[in-house]
Amino acid sequence: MKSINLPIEIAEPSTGMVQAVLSELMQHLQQLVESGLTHVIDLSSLPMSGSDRTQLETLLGNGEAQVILTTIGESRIIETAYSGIWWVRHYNLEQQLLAELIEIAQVPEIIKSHPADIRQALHRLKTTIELSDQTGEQV
Amino acid sequence: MSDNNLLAGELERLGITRRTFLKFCTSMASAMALSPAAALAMAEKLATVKRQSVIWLSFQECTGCTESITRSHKPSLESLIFDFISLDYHHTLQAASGDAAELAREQAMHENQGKYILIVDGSIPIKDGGVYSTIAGMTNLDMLQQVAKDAAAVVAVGSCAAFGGLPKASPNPTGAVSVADIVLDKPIINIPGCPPIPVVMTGVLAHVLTFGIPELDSMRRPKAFYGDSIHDRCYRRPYYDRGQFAKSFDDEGARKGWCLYELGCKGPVTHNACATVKWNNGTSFPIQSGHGCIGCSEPDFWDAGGFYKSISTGIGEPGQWAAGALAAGAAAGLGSAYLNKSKKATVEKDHKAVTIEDMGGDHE
Repeated sequence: MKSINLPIEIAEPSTGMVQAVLSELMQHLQQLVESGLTHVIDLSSLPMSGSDRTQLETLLGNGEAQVILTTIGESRIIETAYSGIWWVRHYNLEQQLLAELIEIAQVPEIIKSHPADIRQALHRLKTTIELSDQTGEQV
Repeated sequence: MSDNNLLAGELERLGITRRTFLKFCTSMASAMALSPAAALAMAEKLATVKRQSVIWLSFQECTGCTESITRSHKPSLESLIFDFISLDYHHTLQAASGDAAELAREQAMHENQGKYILIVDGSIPIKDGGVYSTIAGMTNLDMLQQVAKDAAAVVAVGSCAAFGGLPKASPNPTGAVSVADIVLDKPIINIPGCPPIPVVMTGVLAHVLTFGIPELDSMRRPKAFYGDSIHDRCYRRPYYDRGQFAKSFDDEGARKGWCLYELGCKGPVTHNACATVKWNNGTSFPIQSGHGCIGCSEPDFWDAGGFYKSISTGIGEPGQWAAGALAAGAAAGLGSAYLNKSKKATVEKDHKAVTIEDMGGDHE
């Protein structure tokens, strides 16, 4: 009889954290519905195994929106299949994960343009228009 | 335009958007196990402070601490901390030298009297009037006393500044002492390690700039990073719990990655974040590379017996390496998950006073 080699992968055990996170998400989503209260969960602070993480990702799935920010390394922000629940990952320039969060909000805070940045943009735009007026060139 | 004296103006000048800024604060908050809401509060607060004047004094040291912090994930997000402070004196990094350098130090002390942060790396020799280490003709002892006098807080970076380190090792020929032995009337934060982990230094600095001095343990170390022992958070911990130990560096146990306790690992009595944050951009840490922890962030680690002598066989003059720490380490084996959770709860509790509302309204 010929022997065969089967690759064996040792699965990381599930810790039951997924259920806990799901019910936490449900409570905060309810709060968002009822009173508009937002919330953030820091995934790196939870004692989740690799298989927990995969399980949670599969359960939440992908929704309609995906946002990529490029600010000294990428940030990938995905709305899950549950509207209002966003999976946020921040990477550095070396593509290492710096922070992983789940944000319960209409829009994650970091996607919004900050008022200070908007003021700065207005100033830049004015300068551009003034410059083009001076030089007589068309904008 | 924003006030250029404030960090917000500085950020605009450098072309750093608030989004990048928030990302930096989110990473820092996550590394420090702060509540994620604290990141937003941190970002808003940091934008409204003046660029913090920092004077960095290097005494009996090897420059390893400076090496460590200047290579904190360069050129990436964490190195932004250097844009948030005004490093007014650092004799290794500054361009000025001689009288001009000392003048810069005196000027910063004068202009920011009572407000600057003093960072010290290296121990201070006090034997024979402190003659064993001088800068610009001034003993380290005199310079520390002079600069600490008008500082808002002192950060002792590295094991030498925090506990005396290698220069203090027996027989301590220069009479080396720690910062806390000299500075008695200022808040002191110890960030020990030989060197300390880069993100621990940047994280603590970011915390000081925004929320003030973080919660410290009895040795004045920030609990967020030094709250657990290496052993508590070690990925080889299950082998310890099962009694599976490597007996030599090339035996079967060593190759299978079993616990290095019997080969002298000081993980159970060493408080640091190496097991979670790791080194060289998160690549590895000593135990993951097959070598026990040498306990470099604990007081008097150099005199604590041999690096390869198991702590169960006694480690010379115990000093701070109390037998109680061992017992506590073993009892903590009930599950690092639980420990992690309770630690986070404590840290969160201590920080719940700071909310977005406290920082002046909504982020709208």
